[in-house]
Amino acid sequence: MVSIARKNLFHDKVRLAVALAGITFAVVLITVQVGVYLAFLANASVLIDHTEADIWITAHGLENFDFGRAFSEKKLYEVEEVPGVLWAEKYFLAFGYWKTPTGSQETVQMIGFDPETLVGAPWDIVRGNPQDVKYFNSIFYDEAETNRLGDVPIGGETEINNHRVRVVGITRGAKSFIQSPYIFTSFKNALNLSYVSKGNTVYILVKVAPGASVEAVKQRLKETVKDVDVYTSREFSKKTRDYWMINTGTGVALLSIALMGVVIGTVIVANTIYTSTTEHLKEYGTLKAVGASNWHLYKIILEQAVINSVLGFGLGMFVSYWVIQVMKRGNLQVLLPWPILAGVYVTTLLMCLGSSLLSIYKVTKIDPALVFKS
Amino acid sequence: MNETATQTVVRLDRVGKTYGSGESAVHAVEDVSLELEPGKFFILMGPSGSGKTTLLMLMGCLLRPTSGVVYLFDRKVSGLGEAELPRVRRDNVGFIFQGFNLFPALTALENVEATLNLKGLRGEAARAKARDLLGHIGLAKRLHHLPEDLSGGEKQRVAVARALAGNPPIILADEPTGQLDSKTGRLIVEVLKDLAHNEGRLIFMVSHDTRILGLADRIFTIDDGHLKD
Ligand SMILES: Nc1ncnc2c1ncn2[C@@H]1O[C@H](COP(=O)(O)OP(=O)(O)OP(=O)(O)O)[C@@H](O)[C@H]1O
Ligand SMILES: [Mg+2]
Repeated sequence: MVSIARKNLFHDKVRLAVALAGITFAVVLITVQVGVYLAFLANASVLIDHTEADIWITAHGLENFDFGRAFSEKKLYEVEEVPGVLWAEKYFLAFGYWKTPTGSQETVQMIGFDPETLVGAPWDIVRGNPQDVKYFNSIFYDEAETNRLGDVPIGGETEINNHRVRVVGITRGAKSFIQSPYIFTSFKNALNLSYVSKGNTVYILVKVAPGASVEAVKQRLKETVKDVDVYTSREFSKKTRDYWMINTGTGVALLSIALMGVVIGTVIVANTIYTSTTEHLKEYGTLKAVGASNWHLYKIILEQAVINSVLGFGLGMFVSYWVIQVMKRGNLQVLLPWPILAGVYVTTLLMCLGSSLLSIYKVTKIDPALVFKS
Repeated sequence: MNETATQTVVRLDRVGKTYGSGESAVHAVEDVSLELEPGKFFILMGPSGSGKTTLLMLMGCLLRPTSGVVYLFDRKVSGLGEAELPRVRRDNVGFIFQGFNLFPALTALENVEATLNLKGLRGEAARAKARDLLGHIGLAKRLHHLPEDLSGGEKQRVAVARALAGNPPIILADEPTGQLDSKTGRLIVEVLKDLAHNEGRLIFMVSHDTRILGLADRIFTIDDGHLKD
């Protein structure tokens, strides 16, 4: 079989290059934006998702995890009394000012957990033992934050809110790129370092007893404990992500750039495929004259679209890989699971097929007399 | 020739074609009746705009008449729908054009092969057949040239080979020598004449060139849509 599509495509190298540039551009924009979006999404709730609690109790009217507000820790006793609660733990979150080695200030979020139970402790440790945060003003910070916080070594000291603190460990993957860097320490240290008054907590984490229903325990907590909000972990995680994605418009911004990539890519590809079709109209007409059905001509055009999509996607992935490497060096995270890459290819294919519609319309309408014009 | 063996391949019965309607209507072909037998070389002459191409398209099932009936092998084809016509063309008609209409991205061989593919011949068989057709017409040494690297006469010979792909009994040619010098043109016409006389095909050719009229078995002239012998 002679592939007219392939021959046509590779005959005009300049046009092929333009089409592939268009597709590659679109693929890179989509891949990178979606990757950033997903990383953003996963990241927004990273601490909630890595904590083994079933239920989160927060101050009433809280919008998301990062805006935690203090409430009386006496609620803990009420929570513990509710049937179905296996255990309940205080968990602290507050902003603080970190003094970098150069002397500048960086806003950080201090996480306070119980070093005995390690509920809410960092989950991926590069160096150090998380139980060591029980010592006076001992903290962990994330390896990905050194460019913001400065490279303070283990055993090194700096200041948070003008209190001397000591680095006892380094975490991995506990990085918020929406918010300020997370600093892990004990509940007690965090409370002392913060401006929150004693006798308060920011969250209460609840584990439901085996066999008890999370939903039922949540309902009971809601009825029993006043002036707080009660969420399952999944609800709180989603609420936090939705806040960052929807309320701040971040998601819309990221996805509209990806959409723009699709639109620009489609326009470029549609344009090149259409010009190519118009130039070959007489030959298509000739095929029609000798008995080709419209469908036969569509197949040639669609095959061109498919070849374009495969080559453009390949190039796009190659370029995206390098763009992502550069972004990672700049500390921007990108998350691209396989199903998403498959989705990007499907989008590319649809874009290329969609770009062919105008050409398909054009060959459907070929005037047979055209082939007789010299 | 044996009378009983002579069969009508193309028959037009009071065929007319009007483009447009009302004030702007153009009666390109009017009330044309003719019968064409196989193995003959026909030439159609006429001034520009007289309806030659229109008549060719009617015979080749590229146009449907606005009046009258077109028969191919006694089958009424003028009433067929858009879905059936491609098949009728594929099985019966080969076209040759003034402008060659070769795919610029395809070599001589591939241009013929693609048409064979279209007509149902695939793979190595199609390739061999294409080589055969081009060899017969003296292009064995030009198989892998792109059209841009061929002379006008060579291009038209590729087009003739392509028209022969699928072995159609009818070849319709619209001024195939229009872009060739007279010597090359005459060679092409001789090839067409031989296709009629040696292979029994019906060749119907539109031409302006009076010098080749002697090669025709029968000459038609058309003027303002009206056909004369
Ligand atoms: N699609 C069309 N719509 C309207 N008028 C048409 C159309 N095609 C042809 N005509 C008209 O029909 C008449 C016959 O056209 P046709 O192309 O058959 O002539 P021709 O003899 O082949 O001319 P030439 O020698 O210039 O090729 C002309 O007046 C032409 O303008
Ligand atoms: Mg004409």
